[in-house]
Amino acid sequence: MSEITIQGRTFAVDEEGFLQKPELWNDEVAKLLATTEGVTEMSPEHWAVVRMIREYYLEHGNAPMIRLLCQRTGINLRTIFKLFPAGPAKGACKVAGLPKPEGCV
Amino acid sequence: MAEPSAGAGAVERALAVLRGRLDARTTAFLNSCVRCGLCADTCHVFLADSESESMPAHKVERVARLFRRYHTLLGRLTPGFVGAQNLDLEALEGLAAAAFGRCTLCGRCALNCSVGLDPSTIIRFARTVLGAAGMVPKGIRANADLALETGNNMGISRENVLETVAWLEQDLRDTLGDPAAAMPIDRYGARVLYAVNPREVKFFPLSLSAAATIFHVAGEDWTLTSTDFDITNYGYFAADAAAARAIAERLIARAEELGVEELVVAECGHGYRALRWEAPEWLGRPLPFKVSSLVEVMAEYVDHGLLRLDPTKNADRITLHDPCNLVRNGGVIEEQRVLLRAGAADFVEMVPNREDNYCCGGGGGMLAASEHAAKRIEAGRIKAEQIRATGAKVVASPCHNCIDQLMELNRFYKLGVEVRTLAEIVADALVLPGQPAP
Amino acid sequence: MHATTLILLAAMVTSVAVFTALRFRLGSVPAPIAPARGSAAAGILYAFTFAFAPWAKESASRHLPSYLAGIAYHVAVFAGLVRLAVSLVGPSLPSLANGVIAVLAGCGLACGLALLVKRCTDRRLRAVSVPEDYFANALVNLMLAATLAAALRPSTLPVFQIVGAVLVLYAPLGKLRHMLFLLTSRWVLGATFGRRGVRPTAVRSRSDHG
Repeated sequence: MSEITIQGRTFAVDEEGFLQKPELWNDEVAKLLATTEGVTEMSPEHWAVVRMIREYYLEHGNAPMIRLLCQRTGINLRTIFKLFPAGPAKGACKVAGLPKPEGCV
Repeated sequence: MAEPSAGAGAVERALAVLRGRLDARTTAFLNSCVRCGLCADTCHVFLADSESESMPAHKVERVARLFRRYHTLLGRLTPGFVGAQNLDLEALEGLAAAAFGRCTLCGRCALNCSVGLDPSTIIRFARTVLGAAGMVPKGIRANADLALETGNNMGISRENVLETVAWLEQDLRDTLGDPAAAMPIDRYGARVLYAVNPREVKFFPLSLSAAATIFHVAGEDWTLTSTDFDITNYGYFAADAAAARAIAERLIARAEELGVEELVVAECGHGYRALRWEAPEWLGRPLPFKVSSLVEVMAEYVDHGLLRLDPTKNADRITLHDPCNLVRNGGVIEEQRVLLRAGAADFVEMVPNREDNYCCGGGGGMLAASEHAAKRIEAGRIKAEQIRATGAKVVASPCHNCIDQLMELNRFYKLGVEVRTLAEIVADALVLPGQPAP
Repeated sequence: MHATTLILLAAMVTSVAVFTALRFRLGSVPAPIAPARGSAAAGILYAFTFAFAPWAKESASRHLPSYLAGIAYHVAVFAGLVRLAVSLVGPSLPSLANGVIAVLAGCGLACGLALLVKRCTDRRLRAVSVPEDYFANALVNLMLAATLAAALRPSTLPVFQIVGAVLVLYAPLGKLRHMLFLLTSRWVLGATFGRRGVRPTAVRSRSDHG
């Protein structure tokens, strides 16, 4: 476990920058995490993706399938990869305050 | 660096494995290293950090010292003289840092060992010992366990697979403008079963769509499967023989059930190696179907004129990263080059390449071992420099694990490249039926 | 027969017996089941021939002085062992053979000493070395010195035989046992890379598609 400090605020994160305590998450934290993912400005589309992932996570305890994410937000696949350069797993899930997803990510 | 804490009895359990009968291969290798040290700068980890602990000989010697203590006369009688070491918690912790944090099992040192032994076999044995102590990084263990529990390493349900494939199939029809385009699933008697990495289904479906496009255009008789589709094998990374075998056996049983002639493995280095080369040894029997990589199959389609490619559709300079498990340890060496020469206008090799290629730094399950993330990025510097030297805008790599590491290297080392699978590049270069030849 | 010849003979018989026991205990590597892509035989052949070329491996080409010293060292040891075996049946050699052995042993000794100095001074090498590494190297150097002496002055042959006896008795116990195990290692790894079509690289299969 380690810590990162973004704009003066310190968070416990894992070694890859995923939030250790998902309950600490809020919009401000999301904005700060976004800066570590190369997202300087959270557009409405960024928020739509992040909120959908967040809500799904709180309900199911894991990240949603990309299909569901695209269908629920109405944002197409390629746009999601543009919004979050590290992709939906390491990028969007991290900003949404999820722990690192399982699998090859 | 925090290692997973070992529970009570950990040392005893590890000792039982260490003292047990080792296979001839591992024993021969452990007795062969003369510590000449000439392997040092063949290892990307050592090249990146210059720490003596990262020399392959040093990693081998950690294991060999334990081996000598319990398997040789001098090790028992004069441990100090031959550097034999007792197995205790401290030794286990050192071993874990070396076997999981400083080695990606890429085998580059094996190809260059002046004696001719394979250090990665020895490190794999170390991982087995660590496994008995419960000291496998939790990310690797969790992926293996989830695969054993649910049939794939992301715990994706059958319904989610079916819905995703239906969604991608619709997209395929729209994109190709061909209502007959299909992504068949669970079809008995198909010639080919295409098995994938769960991350393609869950997060990265572009490669799956690309493969479907290619199968469709080539007129292949193929199917996907909604269960036991996972080609990855974290049991293999954990060097847990029982788990590795059980994971591989599921997909093999599914392929047998579907009655296919060929199992085509998506772009996944260790998955290919595990299924093509290791699984028959684990099961103790030959498989009743051929095992191929998608890369081999695509190259054959191109050879046979089943795919027509227009290289000008991939105009940016492309370089190729050779995944260790597919290339140096798998023998798929020229196929990816056939595809890039046919499907890209400006393909340049990085140096060194093919079986001499450097590991991306993410091999051996390291990508799942968060505790070693900093080391992984540091060790990836060698690959980053190779990429930068080519001036390429796109890095192609037929391995999802490498791709994830390369994407991280891209951001950390600011390479400004796009990282893609071979299937995506080939799909983009396709000349569809009815379109004029390039 | 000289007493030293008898001692050497006994030592050699014992050593061969111990090595045989080690080889027997090692067991065999199971025959692989997965269908080959290349040729195991080609891989093994490569491993025992071209793989020794100074340009075949980075470990050699990037460290040419060390690698060539290692080769000269091992050639000399091999010559010394042959000379030891010959000493069992007849003490004197034609002067040409003696000359060749003297040159090989002399060069080998110089290389052995250089490698010992390298092991003592190189930070990286020290980090992986154990006391036995220095001892084994010194023991072999001593044998090469005795080989050289016996070639130059036949009267020292009994000393050479005694040193040789110590060496062959010690060999199966410590790191020098690699002389047996490396044969298996090279064979097994060569076969693996050969079967997988990696080294030598297999011609790409063009099979039954389409």
